Amino acid sequence: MSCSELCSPRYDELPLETSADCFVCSAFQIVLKIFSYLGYSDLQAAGGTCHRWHAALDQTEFNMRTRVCFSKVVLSDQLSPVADLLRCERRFRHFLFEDVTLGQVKELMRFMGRTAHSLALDNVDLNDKQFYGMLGVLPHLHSLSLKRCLPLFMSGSFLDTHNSCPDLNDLASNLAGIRELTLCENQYLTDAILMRLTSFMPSLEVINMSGCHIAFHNAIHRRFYPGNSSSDHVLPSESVLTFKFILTILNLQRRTLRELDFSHTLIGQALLALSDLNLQLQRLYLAGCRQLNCTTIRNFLGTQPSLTALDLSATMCVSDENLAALVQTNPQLEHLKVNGCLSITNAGAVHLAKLKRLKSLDISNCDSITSSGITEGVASEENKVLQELNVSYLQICQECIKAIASNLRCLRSLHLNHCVNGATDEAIQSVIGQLRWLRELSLEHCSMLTDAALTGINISKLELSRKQSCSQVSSMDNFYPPYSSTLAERDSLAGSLQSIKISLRSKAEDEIVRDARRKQAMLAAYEMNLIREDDFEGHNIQQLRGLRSLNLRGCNRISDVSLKYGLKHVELKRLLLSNCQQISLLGMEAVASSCPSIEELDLSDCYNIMDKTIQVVTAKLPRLRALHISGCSQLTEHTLDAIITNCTCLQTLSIYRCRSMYTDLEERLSSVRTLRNLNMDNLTNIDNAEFFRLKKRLDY
Amino acid sequence: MSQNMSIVRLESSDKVLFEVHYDVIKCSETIRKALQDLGDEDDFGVLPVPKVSSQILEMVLNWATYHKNDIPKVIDEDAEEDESMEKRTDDICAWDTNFLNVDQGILYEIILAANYLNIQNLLHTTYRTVANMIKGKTTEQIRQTFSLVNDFTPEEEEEMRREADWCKWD
Repeated sequence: MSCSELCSPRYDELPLETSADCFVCSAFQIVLKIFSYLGYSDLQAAGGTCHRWHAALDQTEFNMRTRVCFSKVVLSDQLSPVADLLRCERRFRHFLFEDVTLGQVKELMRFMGRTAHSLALDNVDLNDKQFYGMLGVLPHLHSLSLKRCLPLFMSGSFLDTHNSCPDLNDLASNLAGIRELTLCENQYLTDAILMRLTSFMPSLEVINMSGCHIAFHNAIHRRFYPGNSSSDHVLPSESVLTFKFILTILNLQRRTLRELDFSHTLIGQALLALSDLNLQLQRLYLAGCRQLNCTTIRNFLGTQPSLTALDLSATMCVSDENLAALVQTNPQLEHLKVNGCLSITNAGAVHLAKLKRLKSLDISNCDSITSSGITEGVASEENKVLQELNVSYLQICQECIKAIASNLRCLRSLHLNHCVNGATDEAIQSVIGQLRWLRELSLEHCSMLTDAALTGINISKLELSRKQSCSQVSSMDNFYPPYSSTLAERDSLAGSLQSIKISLRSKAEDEIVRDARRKQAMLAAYEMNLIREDDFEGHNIQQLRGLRSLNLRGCNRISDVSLKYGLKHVELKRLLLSNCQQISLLGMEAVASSCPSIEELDLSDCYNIMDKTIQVVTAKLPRLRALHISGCSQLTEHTLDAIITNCTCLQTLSIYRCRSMYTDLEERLSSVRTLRNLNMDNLTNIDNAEFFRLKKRLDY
Repeated sequence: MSQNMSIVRLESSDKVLFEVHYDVIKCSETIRKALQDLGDEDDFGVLPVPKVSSQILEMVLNWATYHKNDIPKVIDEDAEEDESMEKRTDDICAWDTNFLNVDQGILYEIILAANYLNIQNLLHTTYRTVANMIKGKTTEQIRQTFSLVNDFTPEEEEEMRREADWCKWD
C-alpha cells in the first residue's frame, strides 16, 4: 500500500539537518512562529542577531504594532532621527510626534505616506499650511489624532476654502478614509473648524473630544447663533465650540459612530440629546465629567445596550441605583471604570457580579465600598472572565483579598495599592498562591507586608535559628539608644517639652528597632547561608512566572531577602521599590541578575542605595529606559559615570534631591543621546551654556 | 474505524519499527488523516515516517504517551492573534520543561518532527521553549545561545541602534 501522502511535509523548505547550529539556517516559518511568542524588546534583541532573523521581523506583527515615536526633538529631513528613518528599509504604520518642532519634513511625509495608517500629533507646533502639506501625502490614514495642537486652530482659517487651502480635493480624498478622529485639549477648536474637518470624513467610528472647551449651555449657543437656531442652514460659528453643533455633526456620523469620548468636559444633561440620534455606541468615555447627574446617565445608558466599555471615573453620577440599572441595561460591558465615584456603597457594588462579560473593573477610591461590596459582589463566586481588578485605596480586609484570590483565578492585573489593613502577609500569600496568571501586581503602600508575603519564608523560625547560632550579642543590638519601656522610666524623663517629644518618638523608634532586628536576623542568616529551602514554607512570588510589573513602593519592611529569593522573573519590565529603605546592594545585585528585562526601575528614597548599587544595576540591565533615584542621598558623581557608560537606551532619569550628583550634570548628561526626560531640582546657575544646550534638546 | 486499528506501526527513517496505541498517536494530525484515508483495510501495514529518526520518534512517542489523556485543547490560531499579549510562555508544565531540556540539535529535530507529524500541542510547547531561551537576553547572548553569526556591518548595527531610540510598542 502507498502512504505517499504521509510524506509531504507542511513546509517544503524545511531542512533536515542535525547539526547544533541548526537555528542559523532554520526554516523561516519556524523562526516566525517562535517570534510570535515574543514581546517588543525581545524581538528587537533577536532581530539584531543576523540578517535572517532581522528579516523575520518584517513578517510578524512587529511592524504592524511598532509605532515610530519622535519625542522632544526637532524634526528635519536632513537631521537625525528623520534622516535615520528615511534610510530605514522597514515600513511603519503608526507615527507619534510629541513635543516636536517641525522643520523641513517633505521627505519624511512622503516616506510616511506610503504606509502610515495612523498619525498622532501631541503638542506639535504646526500651522494649517503645514498640516495640509502633511495630510496631502498620507493617503492610507485611518486614524488621526491632534492633541494640544493649539496653533493649528488659532487662526480660525483652518480648511477654509476661500482663503487658505488650495488643494482641497487631494486632501479630501485622503481624509475620507479616516475612521478615528481625536481632537483632545484643543481650546481653539470651533464649530466651523470641526464642521470643515469632519465633512471630509464621512464614516467616523471614533470621535474623541476629551478636554476640549465645549459650550454646553443654551445661552451661549444663543449668543453666537442669534435668531432661529433651529434652521438647518445656519452657518457654524467661527468663534465658539458648542455642543449643539457637535450634535449636528454626530448626527451626520451616527451610522458608523461606535466610540465617543467627552471626558473632562462640562457635559451634563446635554448627554441626553445624544439619545435622540439612535447611536449604537460600543465605547463611551466620560471620565471627570462632574456635571453629569444620576438621572441623565441612567437614561442615556438605557439607550445604549451594546456598550462594551464605559468610563465614569471621578464623576458624581454613579449611585447604587444606577449600578443596579446598569447591569440590566448594559449587560455587554467588558470594561468598567467607576473609580473615585464616592456615592457607590456596598449595596451598589454587589450588583457588579451580574456583569458576566466584565474583563476589567476599576473601583479604586470608591471610599464607601468595603469588603462585603466585593466579597458579595465581583468576588462572590468563581469568575473566569475578569482579568483586571483595581481596588486600590479601599478599606478592605484580609478575607476580602483572599476571596479575590480564590475566586478570580484568571486575573492578569491586580491593584491593591494602599489597602493597608487588608494586605497582610497571609493575604498576599494567597494571591501569589492562586493568581498564577498575574502580569501586574501593585502593592504600593501596603506597609504591613514583610518578606514572608513575597517569599513564603518563615521569619520567626529564622529568628530563632539565629538566636541559637550566634549566642553573643551582636554590635547592632547596642546601636540604637535604649528604649524606655516602662511607665516609671518615662515618668522620670517627663517634665519638659523636650522629654515628651523623646517619649513620643521612642514609640516609633521601637518599631524601627524591631524592624532593624528582624532585618538583621534575615540578613545575618542570609549572609551565613542560613536560609535553607525548608525555611520557605509558603508560596514564592517567583511562581508568578509571567509577572511583568511589580509595584512595592512604600512597602518598607521588604528587604533584600525578597529581592534575592523572590524576584526571579525573566519577563519583569517594571519594578517600583521607592521607599523600600532596607534594600541594598545585596538585593539589587540579585534582582539585576535574575530580572534582565527590567526597563523601568524606581529606587527613589531608598537611602541604602549607593554608587556601587547603581553601577551593578546599570551594567546588568541593558534595557533600562527609566531610572528613578530621587532622594538617594548617598549617590555621587560615580552614579552619573555608571549611567553615562552603561545606559544605552535611557529615556527618563529622575534625580531630585541628589545634590552630590549635580556638578556639571547638564554637560555630562548631554552625552546620553537617548535621554528625553530629566527630572531634577531647579538649578541656580543657569549661566551654564551647556545647560541651555541640554534644555534645548530635552524641552526643545 | 475497527478495533484492530488500536495498534499502529510506525517505521522511522532509520527503519526502526515502533508499535504504538492509536490513542497515543492520534494527536498527530498527519497520522490520523493517513489512517482515515486507509480506512478499514485489514491488511494494516507499516506507516513509514521517513523524515523522523528513531531517536526522535521515540521521544515524540514518549511525549504523546504522557499527554495522551490531555483534554484536547483546540488551538484557535485566530483567537490567539486577537489576544497576542496573551501568547504566554510561562505555562509549560514541569514534565514538558524537563522533556525539552535537551541540546538544541535535538530540540530542533523535535520541532521538525512535530511539524511533520502535525502535533499542534507539541509544536506550541517547543516554540514556547525556544521563545523562553530568547527572553531577557541581549542580542549578543542570543547569538551565543543559538550560534548565530553576526552578519551585519557596523553601519547597519548603528542604524538598528538608532532605530531602537524611536520605535515603540504600545
